This record gives sequence, structure tokens and C-alpha cells, in this order.
Amino acid sequence: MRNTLVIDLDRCIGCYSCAVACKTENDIPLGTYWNKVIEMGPTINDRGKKETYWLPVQCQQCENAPCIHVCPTGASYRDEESGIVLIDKEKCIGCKYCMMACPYGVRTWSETEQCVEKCTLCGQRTSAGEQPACVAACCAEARFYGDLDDPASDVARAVAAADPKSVHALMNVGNDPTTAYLLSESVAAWKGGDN
Amino acid sequence: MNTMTMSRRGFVKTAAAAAVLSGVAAEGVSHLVPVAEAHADEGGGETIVRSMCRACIHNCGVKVHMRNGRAVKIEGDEADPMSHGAICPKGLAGIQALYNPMRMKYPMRRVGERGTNEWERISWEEAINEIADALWEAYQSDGPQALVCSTGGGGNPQFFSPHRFLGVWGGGNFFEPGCAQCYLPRNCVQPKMNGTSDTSIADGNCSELYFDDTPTECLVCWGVCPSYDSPGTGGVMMSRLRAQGVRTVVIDPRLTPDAAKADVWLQIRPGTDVALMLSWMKYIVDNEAYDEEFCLKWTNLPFLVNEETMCTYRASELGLGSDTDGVVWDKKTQSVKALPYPWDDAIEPALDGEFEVDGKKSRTAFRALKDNCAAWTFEKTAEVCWVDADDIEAAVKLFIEGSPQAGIALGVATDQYIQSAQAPEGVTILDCLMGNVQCPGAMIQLRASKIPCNYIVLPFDVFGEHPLQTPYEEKVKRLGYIEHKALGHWLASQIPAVFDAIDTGKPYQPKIWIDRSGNKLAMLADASHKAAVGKKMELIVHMYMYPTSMSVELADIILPTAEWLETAYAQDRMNMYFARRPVTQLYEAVDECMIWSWIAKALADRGHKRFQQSFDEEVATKFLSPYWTSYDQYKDYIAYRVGSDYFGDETWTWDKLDKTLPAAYKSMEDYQNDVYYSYQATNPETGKPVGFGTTSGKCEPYFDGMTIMGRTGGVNGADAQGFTYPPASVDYLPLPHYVEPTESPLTDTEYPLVLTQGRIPFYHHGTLRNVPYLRELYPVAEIWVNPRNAKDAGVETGDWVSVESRRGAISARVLVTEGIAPGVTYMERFWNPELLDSDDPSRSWKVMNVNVLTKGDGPFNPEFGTYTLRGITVKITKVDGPPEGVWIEPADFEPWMPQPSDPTGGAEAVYDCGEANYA
Repeated sequence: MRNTLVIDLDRCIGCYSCAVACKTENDIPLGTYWNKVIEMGPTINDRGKKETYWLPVQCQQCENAPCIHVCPTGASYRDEESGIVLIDKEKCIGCKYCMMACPYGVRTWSETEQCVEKCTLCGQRTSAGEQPACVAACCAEARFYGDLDDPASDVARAVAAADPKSVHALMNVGNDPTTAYLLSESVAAWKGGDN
Repeated sequence: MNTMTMSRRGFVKTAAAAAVLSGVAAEGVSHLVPVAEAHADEGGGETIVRSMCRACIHNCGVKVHMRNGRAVKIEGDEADPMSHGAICPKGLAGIQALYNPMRMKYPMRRVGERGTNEWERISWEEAINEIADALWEAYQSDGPQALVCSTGGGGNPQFFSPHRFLGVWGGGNFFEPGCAQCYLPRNCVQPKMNGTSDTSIADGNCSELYFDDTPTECLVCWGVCPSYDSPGTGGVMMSRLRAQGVRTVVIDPRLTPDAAKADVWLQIRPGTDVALMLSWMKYIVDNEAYDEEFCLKWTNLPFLVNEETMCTYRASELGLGSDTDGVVWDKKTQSVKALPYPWDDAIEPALDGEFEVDGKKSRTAFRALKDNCAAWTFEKTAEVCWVDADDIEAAVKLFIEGSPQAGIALGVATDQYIQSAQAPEGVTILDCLMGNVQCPGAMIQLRASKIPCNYIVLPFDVFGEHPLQTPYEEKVKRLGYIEHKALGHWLASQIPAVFDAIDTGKPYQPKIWIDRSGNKLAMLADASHKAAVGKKMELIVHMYMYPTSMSVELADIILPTAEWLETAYAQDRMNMYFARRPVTQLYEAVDECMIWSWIAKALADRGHKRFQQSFDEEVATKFLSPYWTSYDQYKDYIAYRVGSDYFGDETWTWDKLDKTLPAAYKSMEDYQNDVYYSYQATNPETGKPVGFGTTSGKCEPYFDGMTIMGRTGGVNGADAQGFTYPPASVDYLPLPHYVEPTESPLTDTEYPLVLTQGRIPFYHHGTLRNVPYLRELYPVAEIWVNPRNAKDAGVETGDWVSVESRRGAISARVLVTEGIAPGVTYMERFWNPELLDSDDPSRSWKVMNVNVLTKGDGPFNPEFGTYTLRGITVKITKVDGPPEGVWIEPADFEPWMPQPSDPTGGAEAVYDCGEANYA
């Protein structure tokens, strides 16, 4: 089971709704994002055309998650039922090794909770059959949530429908991120990593 | 009277302290609100109220989660056929806006000098009486011209409230920073030319784009970025369109998301849109790409033009027929003939040509149009507009290939400079030439602009004659109206003329100003001038949800209005109707429609006869409604309008509406198909096609109606009430010509960069700069600078610059980007609420406000009196850092984090205006 997000960057309009919806849903302090949006551009491509795209970044739900490996207390763990990488706040001792190990910088230190936090794929919502807040709010219908191993899931179908050349992932240093980004060459050249 | 006095620091710091030291918060705010028990987390079930957002003008359907009487979460409503459950950052900000510590909580009266920010709390009764006493005195001494009322599109307006009030009052002046600078030019020009609708996506038109399988093949977004002005509605729509394979052409100086994903993007020089339009016209005409049959039968292009009057001949002028028939050159008989509506198969009108009529040269309107654009080759246009000639050709070809299942959506950009009338004329000509009118896929559709109900509060001046309409002798005194008569479409006065009158007392002296809006000093051009002149008013009343520079710099009395989550409204969303439901009512705030009603009531009590009549349903009519003495009355009026106009039931009350909405008032299939080719339907009275809503019954791309309006007040020689006015000093031309911006980068060596503006997804107009989750994303005014200009100025991303125009200088933070062309810069409007709480509150509108730079003086657009907000020239100089005291870091915005509180019932809980009985 690989529950994750797939994000269609051909559709993403850089409105930052996902970033704000994540904060209002999860009551995240000022200055902290579990889900941030980065503009990748503008750049001038080989044909002399100006291009840009927006890249929302949150926990990539790695299959071989370094945050789990480095955690000395087992606070970073994979939930058996959902397969999702999570943090057990009770076990977190605040050593922040996981923050250093994460290749994407999507883990944050919470002063109020005194533990490391990150995207939970809105477990409080998905367990009730709802979409994660970022997916529900998305103003471009660009975000999909589900199990990549289930061909009927939104994520599997989104990836299957895409041109394989348009399916990307952030740079993989052996951690095998499951989050897929869809971006066509005709919109912009992928700059988010080398997959 | 409650004698609590708020010091200058009171607005913000009381609240700021409250956020940090909760023990003090209770004392700090206990004068305002019964102190909230900390029970938000006590459990209790969550309920969901289905409502509609009003963080911008789109009104997306939302679901508000309530717990123990408090709003705790806002989500999009999947049932909304336009947003499909999406919600943008502005909508998500609703709770931080509702419970914002800066909220204005009760009426206050200024005690210090203007600008010192010292206030005392007063009761609603005192406030209303004080305002009514001043108004009544001014009315008796000066007449209605003493009063100026204004509004704005941001916040939670009842847009036509000031118009309605002024109508009953009997005169005076209305203005709005948008209006001639936002939407009025399109809303007036396009329907008067195409007899159907304007093509403003943001204002609810172009409904064709929202169908699941839209027939549209090509959309031209001209100076509009739906993904940014309304991500929840426009963003979803644009994403779906592109996924469906609809071709898009975007014309925008900025690399917006819609530009980045367009098939062709023209990075046009700000202020040169009309030149580009003329080049498209020339290409279409020269290549005979136009829809000849539509042009011949359903436009005024074959009509012969009286070259002396610039107007198309009426058959009566030549003794050939009636005054409603046009005159054409009949190719069969080689003679001039009247063309009875809609056409005569015996006549073969010439579309193009120059003939002799009554012994004088006369061109067809088509020939006049052709001559008018003849000079605009792609090469010349490329030079003027700073775009590539091949790209222009590629763009117009896409438009032609998609037509007639195509159209041009025109945005606010062209409303903001002196060609505000000519740009909507240009796009309407292009759509008419291509026959993109009322056919599947076209932007011009009759289903748009469903008044009533896009506005609940309506004026008495727009539905024909009414006893409470503004009298002619006062209408004619509206400042700037005679010169700029298209302002009359929204009953507006010209902003520079209003401020000239305040400044000089000529032609008369306005004395009292009532404003319902956010920050006029951040939204009006040349803010420094407005601030100085505004202080000459004797009494200024400002109503808004929280204090702004307008309150502190100018107001004498400030009145707390309600956030959208506290108000009732209704709005169509395609085939459905949605309701905005008040989920709470806080402090002593109230919907502005009640404030106007209470002042109306107080004036009626003092003997103002027309206000007495305005409470009489027999005079006011049930349709326009008498003024309201309770919010429940107003809510029942909403229900009556929705029920009778859309659900065929005149008996609806709010209770019924509340139980019914959201609901479909017709099927989506009918909604889509009912309107196509509706101009061809037979009018049972005449047996002829109903035609278009113009004087000729045809589309009028040759817009001599505008020329007639300039001479009389209306396209057919009179205004909505049948009044005729003296002519403007210059004629309004029937065809658009290009005019180089007044401040031109082609000749300006002192200020070398052209400045444009444009929407961002975080704010609507001047709103939401005090919402922490939005300000942390976009904390300060940003200026886009092309790498080439950045190198010249020696600046990099993150550096601060002084941006200077001939009006003043401000600070902005640099973003070096290819998103803007060399020689062009971009900024969006900004002001700094955090600086209200400083030793110099004026800095709140001075340090980062692009409208310190903009041009508020002439030359103006002849038709609308528009001044120049976009396409002014500026220069940039590197400075050491940000202006002192502005908040930039996320933690800076902590004092504005929400402080939830319990419902109080709002102002109605503490004020009763009494029964209105003047029989």
C-alpha cells in the first residue's frame, strides 16, 4: 500500500490554496508550512519561450524513508494500516536528525508541541473518507490522493493517464519518493530533480 | 455615553496584547463584547452551514463548520457548479478576518485631530443621530449637493447602497475607485454595442466556459488572469478548459499562470491594447476572415454613415422611411435604400464601400471601420506594443480558427487608463466581425448579467421612472457627468471632479462624505492629493469591518460593518441559487444596508419627505423594497426576490429560502441551451425577430450610440428616465483610435520604466492585509524587475528600492524576473495596517502604496473620465532596506491571529430604529 499525493503541474496555477488550506486544517503556526509552493521559474527555454511552473512540496511519502531510518526512538514510523510515514509525538525527543535526513526539507520543529511535525496526509480527514485539505481546496483540480497500488485510485489513474515522459519525482537519493509530479514538456521543462 | 477612550495605539495594540496576554484581553475588550468563555474546545458537535464566500466578487459556495456558536473551519462546497468545491486563500482566510483583533467593534467618534487616531466609543443611537443632524442641516442650507457617498468593491459591500441613498436624498455625488477604472467601461460599452452582455469573467459573465464539455474552442484572455483574480472559480475553470483542449490566447504584460499555460502569450506593453486590437481588425478585414452573413444581417456595419454627424443615417433623415430603420447601399438597384428591421430580401446591401448619399460622400460603417484600422500592420503594431509580429499573427489566427465558438474575455487592465472605453469597443468589434455572438461557444451570451439578484440592494434610478429617482435638476449637477456621460450608466460622478469641488468649492462645495469601503487612500490615484483635499470635508463617516488609513486620516465617525460570515445574501451560480447565511453576529457590527436604512429612518423622522416615502412600500414598490427597519425584513426581501425571480413563487420568506438553498432553479441543460440564438426568436407582438438590445436591434460595432450619448446622455438620445443633457465639450468617437499613454516610455527619459498592476491570489483590492496566513505569504509590496533593468539599477531579488513617479515615491521589495519585459515593471496595490499603530499613522498608506505613484489628473478618457492607474512611468533606485516599522517576518503578524468570540446579535441587539409610519 502506497498512499500518497500525485500533483499535476500542467494544471497547478500557483494559487497557494493548498498551502493555506493545510495551515487552516492543521492549525500550523506562522512561519511554518507542511506544504509549501515554490515557483520554478520563469526561465527561457531552448525555443526562446518564457516558461514557469509552480511546485507544491510536502512529505513525499518515501518508500525507503531516511527519516524513519535515522530516528533513534521510533518516533518516525510507517503506519501499518495506511502505509503512511508519520510521527509519534510522544516518542519524539527533538533530536531533529530526521529534519537533517529528509532530502526535501519538509519536516518542521514545533515550539508549541515540542516535537517534529510534517504532512500527515490529513489522517483526521482521510480516516473519515474525506480528501486531504490540500486536495479538497485545490483550485486547479491538480492534486490527487490515494493508493498507488490500487489501480482504481485517483493517484494511480492520474499517473496512468499521463504520458510517461511527463511523470516526474523529486530527486531520488535512494529514498524512493512516491509522490509523482506530472509536467509536460510543452508547459515547461522539469527542474525539480532528475527522475 | 460610554466614555472609554481609545488611544492612538488602541486599535491594534489592545488586541496585540490580548493575543499575547490572554488575562488582559478580557479587560481590554470587555467594553465591547460579553467576554467569551473559553469553551471552543469543550467539545460539542460540529454543524455545517452552507453559505457563500465574499472575500472577492465571485461568491463561491462554501461550507462553514460551526462549533458552539463559533466558525471554526471553511471549506468549498462541491455542489457549486462553478467552483466544484475548490476554495482559494482569500476564502480560507474568512475566519482570520472574522475574528481579527483589528475588527471595529462599535461606533466611535474622533476626539483628537484628524490623523491622531484618538477616539471615544459612542452608541449607535448617538452615531445615527449625529450623522442625521448634520445631514439634515446641510440639506436645508445647501441642498442635496452637500453630500458625497462612496463605496468600493472590497470587503462585503452592498454595492448600490450609496446610489439608492443618494436617489432618495435627492442628489449629490457618488464615486468609487473602481467604476470608471474598473468594470464600468466594459459593463456599459459591451452590452450597448452587442445588445447582449459584457465579457468580464470576474463579474460572472462568459458562463459558456463553465460547462463540463464547453463548446468553446478558443478563449482570448485580454488583460485578465482568472487563475489569479478568482482561483476558486476562475482557476478551476481555466484548468478544466485547458484539459479539454480549448486553445487560449493571453494578452498580459505579466507571466501569469494563465500566460504560462497559453497557446500564445503576447507580453504587451502596458497601455497599448487598442493598437493590438486594431491590428487584429485589419488582419480580419484584409483577409476577409469575418462572418459576412452575420455582419450583413445582424450588425450595423452595412449602414451608411453621415460623415458630418459621424452617425449612421436613419431612414427618416433622408425621407426614405422610419427613424428606426438604417440606410444601406443596395447593390441590385445601385441606390440608397432604407433597410427595414430586420432585413429585406429584395435588397442586397453593400457591406464595404463609399457612395454618394444626398449629394455627399458616405461610407458604409464597415468601410469606416476598415479605414480606421488600415494603418495597423503587424510590423507597426509590434513596434508599438513591444511584441513579436509573428506572435501577433499566431494569436489572431487562433482566434479566427476558433470563431464563432470563441470570444474575448476582457479584464480590468484596460479599464485603468485613458482608453477605457476604446478597449471594450475594440474587443466587441472583433467578436461581432467573427459572429461570436449568442452562438454555442461564444463569450457573448444573454444568460449573463442576471439582475435582479446579483445585487440585492437596488437604486431607484435604473428601472425607468420612479418617484424616488434623482431629480433632473440634481442629476445634471453631478460632478464631471456632463463631460463624461458614460458615468451615468452607474449613476456616478468623476473622481477628479469631485475632489476638485471639495478643494475649490467650484462649482459647489460638498461638505459631508459617507464612505463604505476599505482604504480610499490606498485605492484612489494620487493618494497624497486625495488625503490633503479630503480633509476639507466638514464631516466624514467611514464604515468598515476594521480601521484603515481612511478611518485614521479622514474620518470623524467610524461605524463597524459586518464580515461576510455575518451577513445574508443570495447569488446565482449558473443554474443554481446559493445563499450567504449569517453564521454569527459579533460585537456591534452590522450589514451596511442597515446603516443606510437607519440614517434614512433618522432623516425621515426629521421631516425629509422623500425618506419618509422610502419606507412606504406603495411608493418604493415591492420589487425595489422600502428601506428596512430590521435585518429580518431585509432577509425576507432577499427571499422574495429569489423566490419570485427564479423559483416562480412570490411568497418566499427567509425561512423558506433557508430551507431551500442551495438549489437548482433550472436544469443545467436548459441553462446552457435556452439562450443560444435568442435574438432570432420571434417577438409575438411584431412577428419579427426580437433582435439585440440596441437601438437598431442589431449589434452595433460601429458605436455611434456612444457619440449620441455624449451629445445627449443616452445611446438613443436620453437616459433611463428620458432626460436629455447638454453635450460634452468633445464628441465621443464611434470607432476606437489608439492613443499613446500620456506618460510614454518612448519619450520619457526621466522615468524610464512603465508600471503596470495586476491581481495576486492573496488579496482582493485593499482587503486582507491584516490576515496573518496571507500576509506571511505576501508580506510586503513586491516590484517585478526584468534582469536587464535590474542590472542597470544594481539590484537583486530581495533588495529594496525606492519607486518614484511624478507624484511621489514609495518603497518596494525587488523580484528580478523574466516574468516582466525589459522596460516594464509590475506592482500590486498595498498598504500597511500595522503602521496605523505608530507615531505617524499616515505612513500606513504612504510607504508601499502604488497609488502614491499613479496619475489622478488629466487627460482623461472622454467617455468615462478614467484616469491613469496602469501605464505610468517610474524610476527605481536602490535603498538600504524596508521602511521602518513594517511587518515582514511571519512572527510579526502574531498580534492579528484570530480571537474567537461569541455571537452578540450585532448592532441590532443594542439599537432599534423604531417603527416607520409617516402616513
